[in-house]
Amino acid sequence: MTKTYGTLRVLNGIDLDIADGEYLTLVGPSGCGKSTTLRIIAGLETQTTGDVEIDGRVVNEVRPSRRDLAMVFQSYALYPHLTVRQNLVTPLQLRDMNFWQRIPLLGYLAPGRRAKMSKIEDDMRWAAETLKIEPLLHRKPGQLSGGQRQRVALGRAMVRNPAAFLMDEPLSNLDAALRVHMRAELSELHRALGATFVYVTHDQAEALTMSDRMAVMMDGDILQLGPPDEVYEDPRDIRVAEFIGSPKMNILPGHGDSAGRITALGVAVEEALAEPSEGPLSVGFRPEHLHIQPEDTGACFSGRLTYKENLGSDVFLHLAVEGIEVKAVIRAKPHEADFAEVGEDVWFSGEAGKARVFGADGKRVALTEPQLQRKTG
Amino acid sequence: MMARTNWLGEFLKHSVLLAGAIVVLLPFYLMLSYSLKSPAEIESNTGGFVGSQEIMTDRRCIKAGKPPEECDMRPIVYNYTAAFSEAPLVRYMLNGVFVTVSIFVIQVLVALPCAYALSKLKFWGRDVVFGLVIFCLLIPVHAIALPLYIMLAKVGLTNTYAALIIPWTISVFGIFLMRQFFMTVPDDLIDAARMDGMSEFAIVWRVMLPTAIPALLAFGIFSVVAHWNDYYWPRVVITGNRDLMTPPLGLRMFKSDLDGNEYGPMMAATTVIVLPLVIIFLLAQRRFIEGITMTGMK
Repeated sequence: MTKTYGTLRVLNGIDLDIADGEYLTLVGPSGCGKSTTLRIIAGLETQTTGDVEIDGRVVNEVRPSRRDLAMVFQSYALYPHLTVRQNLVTPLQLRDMNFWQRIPLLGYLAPGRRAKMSKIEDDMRWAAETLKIEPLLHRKPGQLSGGQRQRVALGRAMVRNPAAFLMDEPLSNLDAALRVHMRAELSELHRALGATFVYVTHDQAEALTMSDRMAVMMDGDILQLGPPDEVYEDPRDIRVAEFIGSPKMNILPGHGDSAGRITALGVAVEEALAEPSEGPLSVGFRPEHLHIQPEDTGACFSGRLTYKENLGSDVFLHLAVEGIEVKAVIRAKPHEADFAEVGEDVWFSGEAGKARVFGADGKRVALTEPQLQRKTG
Repeated sequence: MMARTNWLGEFLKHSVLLAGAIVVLLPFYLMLSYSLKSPAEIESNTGGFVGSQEIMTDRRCIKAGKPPEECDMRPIVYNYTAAFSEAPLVRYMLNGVFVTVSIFVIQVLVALPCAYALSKLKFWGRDVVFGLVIFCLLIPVHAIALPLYIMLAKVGLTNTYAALIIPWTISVFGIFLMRQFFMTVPDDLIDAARMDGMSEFAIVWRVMLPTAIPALLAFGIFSVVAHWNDYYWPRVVITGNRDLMTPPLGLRMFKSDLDGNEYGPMMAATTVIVLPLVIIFLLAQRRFIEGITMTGMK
C-alpha cells in the first residue's frame, strides 16, 4: 500500500508507505495533522495535492465507502437509535444489498436477499464472538459502558473485513485501567486478524506499546518513522526525543568545541562530536540514564531535590537544576535514593554512551563511540 | 426569626404565582363553566361552576315543530349537542387535523435537509444563508400576508387546502431549531455513516432524524398549536367555502349565525376544540420539556 500526498497548510508534504498487515501509529501532539492524515486516507477530506493509493490503486476520486477501509472513531459514533446488532449489520447491508433488497418488508421479495442476509448474519456473529459482545446484541448504545461501546465500534469496523482499519484515538474516552487493558486486546486483535491498522493517538505510550512502526508527527511533518524501539533509543530530532518517553527526556544546555569535546551545564560529557564544531548544543538524557550519586565523583551535575515521586518499583526524583527551566527527572530504584532527602542538594551523573546530543537546529548530532574518548574526555 | 422571614418570603412568592395562575386559568374556567350551564344561568351569572342542571326547553327545537317532550333536556346536553349540530364541528376539526398535520410533515421534509446542510456541510455562503434564516425569524407573518394572498389569488388557490398549507411549509423557526440541535450531534457519527456508504440524504433520514426526535417533538408542538389555533390566515384565504373552515373559523359561525347570546353551545364548541391540544400536551409534556432544554445525545 502506498500513499503520497502533501497539503498546503496542515500537512507540509507527507510521504508514507504502509505495509500490508502492519500496525502503524501516527503519534503527535494535538493539532499536528495526524487526524487530518487519517481522514485523507479515509476519504473524508480531500488532499490539496498528492495521491492516496490503496493496493496500488489511486483512490483520490473514490468515495469513502468504496475504499474498502473501516474507521473507528474516538466518540465511537454508533447509531444511537439502533441496537448493537443493527449497528453491526448496517454497514454490510449498505455495502452488499441493493436498493430493493434494503426496503423494509418488501425487500423480502427481492431476489437473492436470503443468501445475502445469512452471509451478513454469519459475519455479524463472527465479529460478535471475536469481541465477546454477543450478550449485548439486543441493547442500544446508550445502555452500554464505555468499554462495551468501544468493542461494538470495533465490531462495526471488523464485520466489513476491510483492507485496513483506521482508528482515530479510539481509547482516549476510556478510563485509565480500561485503556491499558484495551491496548493489549487491540494488539491481539491485530495479530488475529492480520489486517493493516493505522492508529492515530496523542498518547506516546499507546504508540510505543502497540505499534510495529510509529510515525511521530509535529506541525504537519513526519519527524521520524520507525519501530518504537528505534524511535525511543535513537530520536532524530529534539522534538521527537522530548515527545516520546514519560517522564520526558532531560535536555541540558551544552556546548561543543572545535576539538569535539562536549560539555553540559559546564560539566564534561564522555561522548565527543564525530564532526567537531564550535557552538551551542542540547544534551539529552532519559530519566533512567541519570544516576544519583552520594558524593561528587567528578563530572557530576548538582541540583536540589524538590520532590520524590514514589511509584513502588521506581522512584522519580525531581530536581531543580540551575541553568534549566524545567525540573530534571531521575528514575532510580527506591534503595538507590534512600539517602536523598527532599530539600537537599544532590549529585547526579549521566550514563556513558546514553547522551543524545542535538544541534542548534534541533537535529541529532553524530557522536563518536564513548570508549574511544574516555581517556581524553 | 429565620422561620418567620422564610414564611413571609414563601407567602409572597406563592401569592404572586397564584395571581399569575388565576389570570391564566380564569378564561378556561369560564369557558368550561359556560359550556355546562343553561342560557338563563349564564345571563344571571348564577349556578356556580356546573349550574343546577335543571331540565330546560330548547326553543329552536320547538320552533322546528318537534314535540315538546323531545325538546326538554339538561343544559350540558343541550350545549354540546348544539355545538355539534349547529355547525359542522366535526368537519372543521377534521379540516384542522388535515391542515396542521400536512403543514408539520412538509415542514419536517424541508427543515431537516436544510438544517443538516446548515450545520454539517461546508459550502460557500453557508453563514450568509444562515444569517438569512435568522433574519426571516424577525419578519411577522402579517407583514407579508397581503402579497402572499395576492400571489395565491393570481394562481387561483384561494379557498383551497393548498392556500391554508403552502405558505407555512417552509418554517424558518423549524430550520433554526433543528440546526441548533444538529450542531450538538458529533461529526464522527456522520463520518461513520459516510464510511458505511450512506448518501447524504440517507444520513438525514436514517441517522439525523432518529436522533432528533426530541427536538422534532418540541417543534411539532409549536407548529401544531400555532396552526390549529390560527384564526388570521384561514380568515384571509377562506372566504366563501365553509367546508374548508378550520376550528377557529368555525367558532365564528356561532357568533354570527345564532340569534341572541348562545354562549353555552359556543363555549362547548371551544372546549371541544381546545381539548385535543391539551391532551397532546399532557401526553408529550416530558418530551416537550426535553426538546426545549435540548439535552440531546450523550
